[in-house]
Amino acid sequence: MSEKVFNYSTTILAYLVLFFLLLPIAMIIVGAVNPAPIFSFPPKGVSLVWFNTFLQSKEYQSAIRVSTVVASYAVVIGLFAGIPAAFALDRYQFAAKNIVHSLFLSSMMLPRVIWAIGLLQFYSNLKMLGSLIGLILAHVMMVMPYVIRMVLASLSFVNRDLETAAQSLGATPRRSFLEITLPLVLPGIIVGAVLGFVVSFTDTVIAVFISGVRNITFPVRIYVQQRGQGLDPVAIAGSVIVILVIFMIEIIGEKLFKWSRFM
Amino acid sequence: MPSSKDIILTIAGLYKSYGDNYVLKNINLDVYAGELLILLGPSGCGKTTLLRIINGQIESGSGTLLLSGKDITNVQCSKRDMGFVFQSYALFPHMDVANNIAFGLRMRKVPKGEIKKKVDSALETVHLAGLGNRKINELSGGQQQRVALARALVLRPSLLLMDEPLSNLDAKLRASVRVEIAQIQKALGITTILVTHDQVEAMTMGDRIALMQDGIIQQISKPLDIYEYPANMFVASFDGSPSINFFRVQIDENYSLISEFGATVPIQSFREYLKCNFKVTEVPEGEYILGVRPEDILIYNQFVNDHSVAKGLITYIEPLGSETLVHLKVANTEIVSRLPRLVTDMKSNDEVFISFRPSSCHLFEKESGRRIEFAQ
Repeated sequence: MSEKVFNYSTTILAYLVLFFLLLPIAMIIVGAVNPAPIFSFPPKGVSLVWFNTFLQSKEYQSAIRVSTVVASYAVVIGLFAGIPAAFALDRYQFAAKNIVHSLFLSSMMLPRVIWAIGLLQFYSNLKMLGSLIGLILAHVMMVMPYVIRMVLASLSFVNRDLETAAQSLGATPRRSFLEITLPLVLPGIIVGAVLGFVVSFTDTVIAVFISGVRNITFPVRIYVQQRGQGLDPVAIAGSVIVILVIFMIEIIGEKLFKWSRFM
Repeated sequence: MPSSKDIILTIAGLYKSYGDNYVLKNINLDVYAGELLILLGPSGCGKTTLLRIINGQIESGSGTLLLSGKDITNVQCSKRDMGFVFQSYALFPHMDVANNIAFGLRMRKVPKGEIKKKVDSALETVHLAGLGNRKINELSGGQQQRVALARALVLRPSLLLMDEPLSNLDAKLRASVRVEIAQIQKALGITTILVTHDQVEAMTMGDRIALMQDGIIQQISKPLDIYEYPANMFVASFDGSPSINFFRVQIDENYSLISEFGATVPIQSFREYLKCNFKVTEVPEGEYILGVRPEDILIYNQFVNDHSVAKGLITYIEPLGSETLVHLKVANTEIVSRLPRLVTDMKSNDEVFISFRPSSCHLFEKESGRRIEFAQ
């Protein structure tokens, strides 16, 4: 096959894949602005009525609140645990370092449903099923690999000589950390935190298994709604809002830090 | 202002080991005010470790360090009055050139107005005036190195330490930057210790060279003395390209020198070839190593009675334009001779006679490798 034909085919293929990936999102947006109560294509018009209903709905707002609270706690705890872990992995040599590293990243490796089933058993034995703490801790476990990975990535940009140079110029170890290391690691921390937040906010599988009636997260709310009453345009409108927010965060991050180089 | 007889740095009895592995053994060194001292040696000899210990980046094992008479052995790196230029430059990527240079001044809480003046002056010294606003990643390798130098110099330290400053530059740049660094050092009169593995750099830049191997200082001398009067076989072969030629010789009870290529010469007669004059009776019999530099091996087409020392076979001729390297096999040894001319009268596989230039050969002890030195 000539090179030109190959290039064209690859480009067309790439666009096809992109189209396929974006199609569901496009469908959702169409469904959200369609004022008809049942999903239909082509849409009967364009309206923001479902968005309004969503913002007024007590159940959905509570679910958003729970998801935000859980994600925030998960990220904060994840940072407190993950940042020192990343530093230790980068700076020190110790026995079984590779095993420890894999262990920290393990929650990304296994399918989430496996974790969910395990947690179900585990929490059930500890009588923690349905508790907020249990949910938050499970999400910390999900968030940590993202934090560790991103901080490790930005640490690799910090040449060890940089801190030594700062000290040779009169900076105490504390000063050299604050002036040199921290600013260089901050992009990685922020990326890790934001990614972790999104991962926690959008988690359906684990939350469905272990969150009880008292702590219904947003994805669980939608899931329950769909199982119960079928495709609900209010849920779809809510989802569109979440998608838009995530999209905007991505754009802002790229503009401010060019964070795609970390991912 | 310290006079040139003042000693800025004294290292006494310094040892450093990692577990059982000694990387520095019994280092004793005095560095004089205003001099450029080179720490020279092959990789792994301990020169960079020594430099880092002087700066306080690595803890010393046992031994003392005195800076201008004050004991700094246990003083933290950040409190030592020294500047360090890293091989990797270690410039702070999130700051521009001016802020990099200003960093040390900020740590000392120098007022802002003064900082600006000193930074501008430092940029002038390294010929980078006006580039204060540039980002580090916009600079070429040569420019980055000057920023690293300016950053260390702006603090006017008592001692400047440089770790392989030229190794990351391309060959062409090295020659010019070498000269610039030496000029800046002399103009500021700042005592400097420079680490390198390149003998050309050492010979041209240094006031004195400390040649190291295996954690031990083999010799500290002026550059030409290292070449002319090497302390041992390692020093003799490290300095000089192509390296010195070694022959095994034996001195018997009749005080004759028997070489591995069969010649037996009474030492009395051989004396004229040796660099140092000595009393015949001072050399005990036994095996020795004779060292002759390539430029001191003379080649003749025919046997010339008084001067021919051995027969050789030419194996390879390398014409270098201004000089020619002739590779020969003499008895079982491969040697190299350097002739300061174009060679048209010889070719490979010719049988020739070699001789040594008077007062050029070195005699070394076989066991220790030490050069035999005698009273003049």
